[in-house]
Amino acid sequence: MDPVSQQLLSPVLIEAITAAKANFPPDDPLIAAIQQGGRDIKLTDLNFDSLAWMEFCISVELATGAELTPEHLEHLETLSDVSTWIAAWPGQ
Amino acid sequence: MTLDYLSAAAGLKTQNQFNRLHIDLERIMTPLEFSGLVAQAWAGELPLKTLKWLQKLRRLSPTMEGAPQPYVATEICKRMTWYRAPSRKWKSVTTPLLPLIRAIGYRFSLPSTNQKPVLVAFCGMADRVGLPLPFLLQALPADEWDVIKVTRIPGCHYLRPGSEAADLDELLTLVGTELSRVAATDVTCAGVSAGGAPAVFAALHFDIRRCVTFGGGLSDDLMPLLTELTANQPTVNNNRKSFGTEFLHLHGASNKLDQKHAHRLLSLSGGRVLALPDMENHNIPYTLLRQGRFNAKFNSLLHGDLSLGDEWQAADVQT
Repeated sequence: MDPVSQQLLSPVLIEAITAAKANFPPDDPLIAAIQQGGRDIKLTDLNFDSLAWMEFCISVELATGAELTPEHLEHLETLSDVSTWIAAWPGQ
Repeated sequence: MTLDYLSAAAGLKTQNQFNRLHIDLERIMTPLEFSGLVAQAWAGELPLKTLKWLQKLRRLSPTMEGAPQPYVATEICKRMTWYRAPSRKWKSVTTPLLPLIRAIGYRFSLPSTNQKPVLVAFCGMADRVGLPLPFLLQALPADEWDVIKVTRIPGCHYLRPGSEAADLDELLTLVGTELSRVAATDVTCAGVSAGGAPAVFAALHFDIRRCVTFGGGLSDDLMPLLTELTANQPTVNNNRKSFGTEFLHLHGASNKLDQKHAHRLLSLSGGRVLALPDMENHNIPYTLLRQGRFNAKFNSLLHGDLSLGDEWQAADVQT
């Protein structure tokens, strides 16, 4: 994914993580890592339960229209993969 | 049945839109409302995305569809809701001694309240007691319990940084007002995750019979408040504090953070810590539910004996 798209999607991911954590934002190191592309941030490392992943996906759809679901996430490994998936959604 | 699902779902298209509705419903729906929804499903009135959700819930609580506990919700305020079965009418009493009793001028004095034991359930950050509300209610016979569900301050923790004492005071006032209003004498607290510490706060403040925490959290900044609450309580056996309340703190044996929090709570409240073997998940109630171990045991955990050894294979942890 190109750096511009990556930069545009960073706030979406941060907002989605915030939603997944009951509206508490991620800590500063995680925000910085997301802004740098999130390549090394594995989804499993976020320690979200199924409810949190639903909230994550709802937030992404509200922000972008991309209909990302927990089922899609099962095939993705990192936050960077999520960004790429969103960017590939028609109309992004 | 007050839930108008079809109106709520009107216009929803995507899976996420349905998930939003279902997550919200799982926070407030009663077993009766769930049973009503299943009836609508059998009648072919519900969309496919709803059926998948209902099917998942049905599998986890086999009795809820056919014999739902008859709780009805009454909102007290945004953060608190009563769940109670409609009260039964008094049966008229007849006795051969009645004319004699009247003749001597004796007047019956019936109790002013017929209050059942009350469970005050403190939700975690997801505003639920670890699992969808209908599962919790279905596991608690409505003729044995009235339930108050308490949630955090909307968008915040139970106690906000900088105003912990004021928030605690407000929380205890809210709970205390309701318990006094119904003249509750047999009260149990349960707290899940972030609801663990508030449950202990309430148990220490009121005359609570039992307090059970499930992966209960207690952060550093709340320690002074709890210490203050416990400061004037009697200290007995082995320098452990002991109150009238039975305290039980449950954590997954493989979850080191929850283990640490459980022992923190224990150091202030006394009571017992139980480690559930082969459990790493922070969400104990939902894990037990998925393992098929929740429904049969939860009720007796709250007001029966505390011998969890057989059913949950829980091990007492010595401090």
